[in-house]
Amino acid sequence: MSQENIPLGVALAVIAAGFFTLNALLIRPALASVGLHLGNLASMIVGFLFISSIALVVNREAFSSLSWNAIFWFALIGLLNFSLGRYFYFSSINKLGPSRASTLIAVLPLISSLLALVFLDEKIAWLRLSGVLLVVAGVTTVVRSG
Amino acid sequence: MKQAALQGYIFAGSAILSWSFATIILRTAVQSLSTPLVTAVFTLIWGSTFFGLFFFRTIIRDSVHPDKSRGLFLFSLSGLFSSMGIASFYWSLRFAPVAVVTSANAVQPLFVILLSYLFFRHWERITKGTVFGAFLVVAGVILVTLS
Repeated sequence: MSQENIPLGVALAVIAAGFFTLNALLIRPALASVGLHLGNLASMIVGFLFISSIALVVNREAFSSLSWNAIFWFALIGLLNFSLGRYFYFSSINKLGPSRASTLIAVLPLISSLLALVFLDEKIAWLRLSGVLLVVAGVTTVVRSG
Repeated sequence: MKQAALQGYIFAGSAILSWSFATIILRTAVQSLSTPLVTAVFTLIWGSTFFGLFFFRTIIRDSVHPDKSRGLFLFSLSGLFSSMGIASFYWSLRFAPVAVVTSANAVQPLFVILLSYLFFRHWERITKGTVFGAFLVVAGVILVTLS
């Protein structure tokens, strides 16, 4: 199912960044009375309940057509994204400090693009690669100047 | 290089690889396995389960804090925003390639600095480097979008 629409994709990714920002800003005061791991778990469970309630209304029929294959891949994404990724990130902050760890994480778009080139055969034109490199340089500059 | 720093770099690299591979699988999942919302539901429940198992000890330790109500309320609110961010991110992967989505999503530090500056001035300061970096990010996202 290919529905390529780059401007819409960019708009949604920027909206996602806005929501992640609100999330990040709330975590700081929340940490005054709750530990990071318990808070993260509470945050994920509330998020799950919220998204589930919307999905049950909007996409009810999609649940019945799910295959075991899909559930396996969702489990792998959950493991990589929310458990291993966060475990490694928190550990890197613990060893390097938030500034250096965040700077390193800024190369994420570049690594993701290269992996997409290898595994998804996504074409990377010079213009797109230049954009990705500018983003990485910009985020690194912002994080280091903070 | 000190051993702690080396470990830190290895952890950061592992985080990048974990998130990158997750995004690669997500791109396929939201295009061929199910809708972005249903994908968000299942990845969140699996993620919560694995996270709970990974950090079981510290979660138990955290839970003995005497007054957690305000913190848990704020984390719950953050969960609402985070889940909307996750759903938007998954939707974006249905419409655009990984390189485009991850680059556009990388504007997040700019939002953090801007909102912190507007509402919590004592947290952040805007330097020339911040402005220059912001300019690079915006230029990069425009290039990626036009490509």
